[in-house]
Amino acid sequence: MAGCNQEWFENLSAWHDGEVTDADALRIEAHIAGCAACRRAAEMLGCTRTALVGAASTEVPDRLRARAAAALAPRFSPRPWVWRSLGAAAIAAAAALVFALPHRELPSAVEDELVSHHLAGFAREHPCDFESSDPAAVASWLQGELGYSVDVSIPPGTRLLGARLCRIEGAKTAALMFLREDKPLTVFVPPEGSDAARTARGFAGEGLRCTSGPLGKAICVKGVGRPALVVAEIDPGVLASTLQSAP
Amino acid sequence: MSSLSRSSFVERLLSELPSLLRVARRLTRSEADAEDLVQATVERAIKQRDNLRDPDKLRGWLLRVQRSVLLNTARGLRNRLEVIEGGQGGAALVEPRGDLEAEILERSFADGVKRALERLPSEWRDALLLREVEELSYEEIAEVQGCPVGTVRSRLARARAALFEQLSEEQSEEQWLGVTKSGSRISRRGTTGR
Repeated sequence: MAGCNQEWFENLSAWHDGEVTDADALRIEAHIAGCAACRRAAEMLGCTRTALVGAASTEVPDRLRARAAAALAPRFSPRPWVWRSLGAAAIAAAAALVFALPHRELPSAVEDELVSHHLAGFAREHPCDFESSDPAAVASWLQGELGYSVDVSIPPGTRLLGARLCRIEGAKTAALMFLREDKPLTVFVPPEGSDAARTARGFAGEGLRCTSGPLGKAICVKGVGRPALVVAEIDPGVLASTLQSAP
Repeated sequence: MSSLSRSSFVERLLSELPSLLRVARRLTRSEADAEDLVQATVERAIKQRDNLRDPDKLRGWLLRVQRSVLLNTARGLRNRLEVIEGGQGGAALVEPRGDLEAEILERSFADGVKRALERLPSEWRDALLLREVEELSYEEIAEVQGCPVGTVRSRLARARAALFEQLSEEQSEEQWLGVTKSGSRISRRGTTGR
């Protein structure tokens, strides 16, 4: 079946892979033209390639994408964690929020999506699509790109880097990017009426609720007003405290 | 020295995750181990990116890094029994096109290839998949497998001959050729377009 003999089949195999010289290609093609066995073998090589390529998985789980993005994210210089400077009462109050509210859980697919976008954004050399520390300028850019207004407020102790666009649960969503003590923090603001906004309200109700997301990232969700979902590389209680202090 | 900026390198590395995961699955036989191996490879690759000489050969370079990571872990040495992981199941192999008979036979051919592949010696199978699926050149495969280019050429020919022999035990070659025309086309220097 494999050509007219072993030597010719090895030639055919290399020709099939484009790994022969031009002169050899001409010689092999002339042989194929006159050899039925090698012609059939050449066709089988093509069929086999099609079958192997068709069977190859191209799917990569979101969790692996998030892990890879985390591994690729630039390392920020470590500084003392801010919770050391916060009062114990504030920490305790914030931590109490983490698991306090009796609402639905945040779907793991949404957690993965949030963390993945957070990491992928900060893995880029220029994390933002629009770079500015001016909240009004960022809000204006987002309004133009998304067609809905986003209130760009700066949580205490954070520095606004700018914004980018991404999709959360299929909806084009604003991602505000901050640094807090040199640690990345992303605030996702989905459009009203989107699945992501409903998920946020389902999880946080009319308050603020936090959880530990994949890869040790904190996720806090604000359900009151325009829903927002926040991912940061700090303790969930600290993040809750930061967001509670926001104007 | 790689001429890719860090962001370009990161972007292209992330686009190679499907390839890294496919090969990692074959190398580790475990989804969890495969994902661990890919993450370790990504970590190693970002540290060693200055060693990438030719950005056009990123995939081959990454697969060499992955092999090196695997060989440097005790778990990798223990489990280094490659398997083919189809990923998409047989049902997902062929999109329905309305020609049911041809579809069934084509799917049957693909299943036959998969079964035959599993019976090949691991080094032959690896070489074949690195060429056909990962699209590496003979030179890149030689670097990944740590062998001369001539050995790659010979492995591929033997792998294909053995594959065809096993397929012929299942069906007559005329039948395969009759039903897989959609996937085969003889053209200059190679039998199918990618």
